[in-house]
Amino acid sequence: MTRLVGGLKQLGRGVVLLGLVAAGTILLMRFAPGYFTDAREMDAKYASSARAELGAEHARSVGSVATEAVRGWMHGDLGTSRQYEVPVTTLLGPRLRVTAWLLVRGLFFGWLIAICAALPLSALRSGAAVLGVPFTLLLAVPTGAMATLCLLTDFGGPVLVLTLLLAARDFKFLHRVLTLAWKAPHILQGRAQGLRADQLVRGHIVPDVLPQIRALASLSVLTALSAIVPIEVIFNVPGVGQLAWTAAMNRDLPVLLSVTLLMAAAVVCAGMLSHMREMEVA
Amino acid sequence: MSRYLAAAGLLLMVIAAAVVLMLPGPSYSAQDREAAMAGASAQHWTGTDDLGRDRTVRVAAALVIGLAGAVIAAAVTVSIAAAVGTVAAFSTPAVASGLMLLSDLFLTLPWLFLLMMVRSSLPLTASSAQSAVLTFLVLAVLGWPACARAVYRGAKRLRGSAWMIQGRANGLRNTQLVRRHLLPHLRPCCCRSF
Repeated sequence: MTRLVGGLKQLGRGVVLLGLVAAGTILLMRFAPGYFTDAREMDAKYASSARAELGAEHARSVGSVATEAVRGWMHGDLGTSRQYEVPVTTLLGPRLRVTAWLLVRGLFFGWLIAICAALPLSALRSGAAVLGVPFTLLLAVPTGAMATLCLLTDFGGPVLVLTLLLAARDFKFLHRVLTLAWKAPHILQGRAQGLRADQLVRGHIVPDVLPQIRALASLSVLTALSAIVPIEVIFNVPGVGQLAWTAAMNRDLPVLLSVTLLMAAAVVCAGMLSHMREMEVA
Repeated sequence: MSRYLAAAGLLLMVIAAAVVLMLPGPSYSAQDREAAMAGASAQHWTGTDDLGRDRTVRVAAALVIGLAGAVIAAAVTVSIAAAVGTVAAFSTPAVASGLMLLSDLFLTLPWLFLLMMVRSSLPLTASSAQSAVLTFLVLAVLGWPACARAVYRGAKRLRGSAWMIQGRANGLRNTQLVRRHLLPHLRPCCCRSF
């Protein structure tokens, strides 16, 4: 019963958050410079019609923009894109698949590298700091710079950049958590009694650090989502990140609103998972 | 030890960049149109860009602005995050829930447009220093949510610890508990976010 009430509270919180995100996005975009401009104004052939459309847009209140957005969501097509003049769902559908596949591969390989490096290095008594230098260096390289470097050297692609980014961040956390786990008194006792490393890892270390790894997993998804935009833009990947970028540049409110709400939904889901885990522990 | 080495390395980089800026020679904005995209020479150690500006001086200026701005912005961010996280942990569940909702909202909104608004509100004659200060300030104010969540979790866990209950039973006020006991315990978490 308590779990049900907690779940309902979290759901209500999620709905409130999505509403606030929608309102905030509309306000930010509406008052941002360039919202009432159109590239067609530069062309004498289309200038008058473009100005008439912009005038009509200018006359609309924020409330009517929000109402139209909600109507689009209720209709199921998420509104009509301002730049492409097609329903947002037709733009989002195929791009979601591309982004999801990229995220899955990036997360899988990133975690694989981080675990494979952190597990043996955390068991070392000395020299781990030196061996972990490549990950520290990777942390210092911005995502955009890493992607540009890959393009310039014609080596790797979006999956490699996402993998390296996540591996560097996850390694730092995993290494710290695992190092502390190896120093726990019961692990030292197990070592002294002659238990093998694989037995200790399987039977004691993994169960000890699992809650923290779960917390890191939700954080890792958020990191990957925030890195998706520069990666897809630089590598010209036709995914949601690239769509969000072009929508922001062209002030395409329905598209950007949908993408922002998707991101907010991801944050809400991550928060709910973390809350559920806390309740289980409690 | 490695922390001190890293700090010393950063300091050395800033000093080297400051020395380059102080040397007699072209300023970071001076254009030499006769030598656009020039290669490395005695006059321009690492060449010039497409407007004929000295690359070494520009990199040095960017390093000083970037490092100093980032350090100040990170300090502001961590201070806001520590304040929000601690207040949330020590207040009623409704206030805590409200503050965490606010942090989630800050995490998801497209703040790129706020930056555009801020930049467009500045006059075209605004100096690059003014723009840089304002940009770093906005970034500092927008960057607190992730750290605040970590501080909130840490503070909430510590709030229920035995020594904290003991301190409260002994009559210590929340402000005393936070200042003298909680914040020192949260320092590693804040340092990581810094």
